[in-house]
Amino acid sequence: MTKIYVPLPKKKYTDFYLEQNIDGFFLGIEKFSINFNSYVKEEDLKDTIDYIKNNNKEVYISFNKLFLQKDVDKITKLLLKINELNVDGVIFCDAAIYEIVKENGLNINLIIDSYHVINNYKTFDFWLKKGVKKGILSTEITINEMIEINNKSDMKFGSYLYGYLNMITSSRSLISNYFKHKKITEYNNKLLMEVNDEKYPIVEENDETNIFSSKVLNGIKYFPELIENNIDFIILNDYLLDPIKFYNVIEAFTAIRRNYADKEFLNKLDEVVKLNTEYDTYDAFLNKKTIYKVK
Amino acid sequence: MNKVELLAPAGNLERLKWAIDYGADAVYIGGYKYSLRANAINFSIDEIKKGLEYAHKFNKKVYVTVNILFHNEELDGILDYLKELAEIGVDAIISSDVFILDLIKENNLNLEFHLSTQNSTLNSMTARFFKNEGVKRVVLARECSKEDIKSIIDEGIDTEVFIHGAMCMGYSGRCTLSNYITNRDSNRGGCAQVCRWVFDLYDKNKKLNKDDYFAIAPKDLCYLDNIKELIDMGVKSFKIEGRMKSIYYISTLLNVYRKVIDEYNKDENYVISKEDKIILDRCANRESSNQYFNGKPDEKDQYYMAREEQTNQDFLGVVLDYDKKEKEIVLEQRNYFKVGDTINVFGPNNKNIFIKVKYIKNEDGEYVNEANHPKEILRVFSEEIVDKHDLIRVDFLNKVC
Repeated sequence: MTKIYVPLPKKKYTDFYLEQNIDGFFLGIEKFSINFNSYVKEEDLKDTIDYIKNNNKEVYISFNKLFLQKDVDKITKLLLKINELNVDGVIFCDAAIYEIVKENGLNINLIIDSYHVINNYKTFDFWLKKGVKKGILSTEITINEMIEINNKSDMKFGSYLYGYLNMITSSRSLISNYFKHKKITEYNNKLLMEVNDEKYPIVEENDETNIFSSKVLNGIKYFPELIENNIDFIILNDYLLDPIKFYNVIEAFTAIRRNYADKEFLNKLDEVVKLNTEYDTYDAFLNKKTIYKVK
Repeated sequence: MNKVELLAPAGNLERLKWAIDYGADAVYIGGYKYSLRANAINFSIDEIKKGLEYAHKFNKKVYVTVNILFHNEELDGILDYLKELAEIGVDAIISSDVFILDLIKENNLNLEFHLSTQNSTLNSMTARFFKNEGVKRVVLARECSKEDIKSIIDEGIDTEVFIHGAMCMGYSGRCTLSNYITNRDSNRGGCAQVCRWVFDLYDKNKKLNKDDYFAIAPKDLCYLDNIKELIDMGVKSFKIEGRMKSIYYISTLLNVYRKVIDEYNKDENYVISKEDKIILDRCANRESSNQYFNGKPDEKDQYYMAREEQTNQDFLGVVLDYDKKEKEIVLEQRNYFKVGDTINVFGPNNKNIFIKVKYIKNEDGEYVNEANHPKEILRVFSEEIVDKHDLIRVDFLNKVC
């Protein structure tokens, strides 16, 4: 059965999420991960992992960013430490992580995060041949492309099905640069930029700026199709969302998993999720192809 | 001294020839298929072949971009295309979708693989991984500082570094603004340059910009002042950005960088002239800086009103011939000039001639006071001999120096 993973929330919500029938957590570590509501400090890593494992959930650590040379030694030390911990896998998008794990002979399962750049089954197969057993599908491909990739590759795949979608990562400090230019010293690091009546969340943290989709992806009605096609896991992302409302989302997805053949129930829950969360949601690219040639 | 390659973009066969003539050691081009810059004219296989013949005649190289990020639907046909490129003898392909490495190995294709900047290679371990996979050269991310560049060179892999041109606001390949906001796939040639738009900025419901906009557009990159350091570090190739740019832009940049590289090779104490900086500044329509070279760019390295681009009419014409008998330049006009103006002729042979326009003759041999019809063939008196394919620009050097 398709597994459901969510990012590890702030400590006070962890038990709340643990009550749900999810299968595991993605952990973000300060300076080594992006787009998490809450980051685990390196010194708290062991205790956090032990706590999750004691609750019989899986743990994946996310290195979902690109790294500069100054980061290489720090990553190496951290991966050596992770190797001693009881984690189910490490998510990566920079080949440096793969190289460090391989060179140091670490016993870590690697999961490749497509992070916009892997959009076909042959590229996933490249990584499969290197021993990477799982992959996170791009958020810019359609549900049909996802299923085709899943059917044509022996890798196990997961897909984001809920949450704001990252559109871009910049290593520039776009918010602070703007306010420095304006000679304004007090400002928030999470704002909205608007164009064509759409507001896009823009967040500056950990020396980077990320910009997100104006609407929240809600792929609940595609979930049965993914289950039927044996997708290994889905990810529900709570980034920038209210934890209580997100709890309702988890509840709905876990309920669908139990009754995925019941179309009426699916439609009802889709409505319930929309009403309970009040987020402006959409299908993103699940059912929409992007234009290739613009001529 | 490290013999560095000067690598220029070429959007079509004509531009390829101009780039070679103006001193490029190599050019990079895109085919009709599988290449970003879907709006460039690009090359058919026949044209790539012609480009190769022209370049190889002068001992220059041609690299072909196969740099889209492939979806399943583009996979059919890619192997045949790679075979064609191998058969006609391209010097390398530039790509970031790594399954192509498998195709090259499995089919024993004679193709050198250069890892595109779309992969955003920023550190030595990433470079080491790709070196072990058979990648000959890495086109570094434009976010690399000089320390990052040095550490990658130390891995023993060839490095290609962008030295001039437009910057992306985000990591190359990791930007899908265009996909989400315009439904055009930025990683399959459809980038709508959303990062050069203007936006309103809100904190919840409170609008923060009042009489202006919020923008995220970067200024251009210019490493002119860092060329010597980069040569000394051992960079293998200096890349100029801009497959969509004009012949005038590319020729001007090549003219300056060719001279600077050659002068450094002769004399390591060579000092870059003020004129060269002015020429580069005038040629681009945006301001520039050395961006990430010394660390992270700050608020001075980007724009806040998006398209703060200055256009000018500096490019006056192309030399078609020199009539030695009449001592006249035969030129094809591009922008306005008139009798009495001083014009500046420059070309691949380090030529930099200033001519006061005594008269202008049109194709019928009539004297005219003004050149104001683009593409018109004209004649201008010159004591000094100029060459076919020299370019003519406004005399801004004497005005500002």
